[in-house]
Amino acid sequence: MRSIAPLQQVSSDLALLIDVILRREPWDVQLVVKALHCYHAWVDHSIHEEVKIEILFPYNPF
Amino acid sequence: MYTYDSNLADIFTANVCRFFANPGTVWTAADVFNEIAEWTVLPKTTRQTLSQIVTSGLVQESYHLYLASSIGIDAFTSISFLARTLAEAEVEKLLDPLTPLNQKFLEIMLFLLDTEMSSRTFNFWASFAEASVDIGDGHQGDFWLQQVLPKLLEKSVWRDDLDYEEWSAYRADVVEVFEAICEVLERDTLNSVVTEWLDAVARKEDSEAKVVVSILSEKC
Repeated sequence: MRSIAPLQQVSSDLALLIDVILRREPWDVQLVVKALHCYHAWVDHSIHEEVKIEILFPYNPF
Repeated sequence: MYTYDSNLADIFTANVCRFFANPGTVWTAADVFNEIAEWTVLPKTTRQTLSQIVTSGLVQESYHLYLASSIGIDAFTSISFLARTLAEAEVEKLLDPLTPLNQKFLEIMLFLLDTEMSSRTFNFWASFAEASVDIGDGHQGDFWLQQVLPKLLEKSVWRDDLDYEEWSAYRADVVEVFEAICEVLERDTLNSVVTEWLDAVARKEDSEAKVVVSILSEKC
């Protein structure tokens, strides 16, 4: 398992960036599609790298 | 006031409806959420929202768009797979109780049986048949399974416009679903459904089909 702190930081930075993209009106569709792929890759990473999903999404009520 | 939410899952959950309302993002969103739902348990709110979206007629509408060549098969596949994944995740609860939402999921799965996604629903129907045995008197799923049978039979019939290998693979895969359904439906019900279907085929004007049906009817 990789170190937790950098992952949390990256997750937080990524969330900030994606939040900005999704708050733009109107949507830049190509950017939003990339954001979706990014989310997909992030969940994929968390599962395949055996990172506990609670660490990446700390407040998420699964 | 601008509030910043640092939770990725919450950000995406909050935008699920918008992803699916936008023609530029809907198919990617279906693809992405389907794969995530296959890998892990989705957050409850996301799961509920997605269930409402896919049961709103989107699957059927997508198929008509596909038939009209307005979208490609990949787009239709994305939304179909998402519907299937959500239905499979709840397969043991769909009849217990049969809520309007659960009913819509079963209607979608029946609808998909008639489409190019037909064989992709086999696991769902086999699991549904198996799960239905443990609910109530064990026959609460009969109404749905009785509707599955004629569709499977129809799809198993040879037509000149079919690809032989695909047709052959379908007939090989369909056996497992037949077996699962036969274990649930009583013999009389099975005979009635199959005979009714054979009669319907016999009434068609296809002489080749009539010959096959008459042979089958003699053996039934």
